Amino acid sequence: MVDPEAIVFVVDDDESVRESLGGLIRSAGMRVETFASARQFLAGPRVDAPSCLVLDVHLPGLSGLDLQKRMAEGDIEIPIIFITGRGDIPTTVRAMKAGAVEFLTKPFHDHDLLDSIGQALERDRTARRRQAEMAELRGRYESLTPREREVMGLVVSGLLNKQVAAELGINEGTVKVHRGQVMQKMRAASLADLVRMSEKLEIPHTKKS
Amino acid sequence: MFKSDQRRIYGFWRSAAQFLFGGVILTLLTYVCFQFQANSTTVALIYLIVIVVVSLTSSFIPAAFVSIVAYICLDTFFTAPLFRPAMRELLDVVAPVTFLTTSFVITRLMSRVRKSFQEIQALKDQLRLAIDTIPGLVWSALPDGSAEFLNQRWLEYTGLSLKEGLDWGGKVAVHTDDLARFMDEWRAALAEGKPLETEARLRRADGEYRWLLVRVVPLRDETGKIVKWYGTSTDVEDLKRTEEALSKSHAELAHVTRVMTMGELAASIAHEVNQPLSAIMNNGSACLRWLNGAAPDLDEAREAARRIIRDGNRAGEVITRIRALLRKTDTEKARLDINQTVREVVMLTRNGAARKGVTLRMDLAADLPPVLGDRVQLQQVILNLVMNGVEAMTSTPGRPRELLIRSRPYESDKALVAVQDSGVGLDGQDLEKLFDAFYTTKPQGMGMGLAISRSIVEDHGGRLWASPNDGPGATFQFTLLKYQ
Repeated sequence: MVDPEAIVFVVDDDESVRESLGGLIRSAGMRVETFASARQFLAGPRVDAPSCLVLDVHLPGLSGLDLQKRMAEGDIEIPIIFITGRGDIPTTVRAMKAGAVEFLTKPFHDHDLLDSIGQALERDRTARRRQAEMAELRGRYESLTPREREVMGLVVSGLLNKQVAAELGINEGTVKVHRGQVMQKMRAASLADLVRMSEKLEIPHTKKS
Repeated sequence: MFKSDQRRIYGFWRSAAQFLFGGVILTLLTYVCFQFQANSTTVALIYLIVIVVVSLTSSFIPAAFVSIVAYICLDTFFTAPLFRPAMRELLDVVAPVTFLTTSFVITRLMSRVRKSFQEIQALKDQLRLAIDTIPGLVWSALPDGSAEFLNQRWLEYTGLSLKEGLDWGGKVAVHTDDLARFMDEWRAALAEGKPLETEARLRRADGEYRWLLVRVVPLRDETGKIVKWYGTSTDVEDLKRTEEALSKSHAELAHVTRVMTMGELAASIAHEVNQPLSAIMNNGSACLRWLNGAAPDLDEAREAARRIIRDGNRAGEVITRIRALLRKTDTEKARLDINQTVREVVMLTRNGAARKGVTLRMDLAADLPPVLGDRVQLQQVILNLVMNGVEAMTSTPGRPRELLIRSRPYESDKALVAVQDSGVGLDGQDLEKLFDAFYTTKPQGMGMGLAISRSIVEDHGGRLWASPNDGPGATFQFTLLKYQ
């Protein structure tokens, strides 16, 4: 369960709270990095590992919600767990709507925080996996020649080889060759597999109607 | 109408009586002098005396009548040839003319004098009436301080007779608790020749002691010597009662706003306690985890436990500070280090201010004299000014938000505390209106804070005022009397 790679960031202006959070998370066997302000956190280096952020809502200067917004704008996709001394409903709603994993009111039980951290890390892992998958797919797609991409677009929109040939004004045999290249380069096991990939890649269906 | 008729009738009989009186006296004198063969000069002198007497007691016409009759008698009975008028010599003309002229002049003069006397008497009566009627206790005293005059109101008020009042100078009516002080003040005023204004309780005729405002001023002659002391005493009992009631309701309101301010503080305090509490829980959990692991990490567990103690102490300090702020002290004023009071308030508000992005800075004079004040009330004043200052700055972006609290010795006998913000300032606001009750610029404000702060400061013999800064923001400052 414990991922030695995973790292938890903590941002809280109160030294005692910050230290105690660091200690608690370390005692659960996770790596942790603490920051006294949102700016300090933004200035720090990004890591290539599953991570999440434990963030105090009421920070002096740039507040927790401000930081959440900044991160969304800067494409920093780290799941956030908010902690606060006084949880008011409007702030909670705003934070959750903006995609926070959890909103905890201090003081909280250790397992509430650690469970949330587990969830957040899981979410990040999934996201990271999806991202890696997408990058892989995109790479495969980019390895196709322009003609192969045209063929792929028409095939996934449900056209038969003959129809594709007619559409492109080429020989049916040539279509078959292109199609075989596409299936191989995209590492698609079946036509259904290829369709799923095209959906993920959001490839436009090129059939002229 | 009836009255003036009566007066005319009275005047007529009076004149008639005077005519009769003049006639009888003249007749008697003439008879006596004739019997004694008095010479004409003696008789003329006697007649003149009669004329003087008559003109002193009556008006001009009877006196003139007596003069003429006297002359006729003189000419008839005492001037040769007797019993008939004669005009043989120059003397016979000069003598009667001289006599008549003299007697007329005397008559005239006398009636003038009499009239003046009457006027003076009327004036005196009027003055006396005025002094007795004006709604105040009026009295005068001699330069040595002994009572000389007491007006009717004074006598009615105290129920003392004039003799009693004058003998004791009213001392007997002064409340025993006030007498020594009052007499000291009175003697000091007499010695220095300075006007006196003081208050003392005086026993009213019905036995009730009531507060009187006593004012005395000296009257000096042209050389500057004090001739007399004039004093008035005004019953201020009802005024005093109203004042007391007002001050009581003020105190009640002060309590209400204090509770409200405490409410605002409570949020900040809750946070203050919550932080270490939350840290303690985290550290406790961490500590257990370190101990419960397959290979317990005692160093980490020890470190977590150490932090628990530290944060526990921190929470304890917060509680101690709140206790200090809420401590019930009686409202008696005592020797107070106002710098300490400022520090207490700043400690409690520092965090709340920081959360609003405001830094609190103190610049407290080391040589500040101790003041005479009520700790809790003055805490409230400072708390109020600090919170106002913080609030004023939260709506001003782009400026350094710093609230400066200064203390300084002020004039020779005062201490000054100033709270200076760099907030929205007081542009276009009436500086005095700020201190009116129910005047507020804040959406949640009740408009009591400054009004009550001012009444507290004034109750301490100090002054609270606001002034715009040269730069942005405003300064609220107050003075307090030095503890003697």
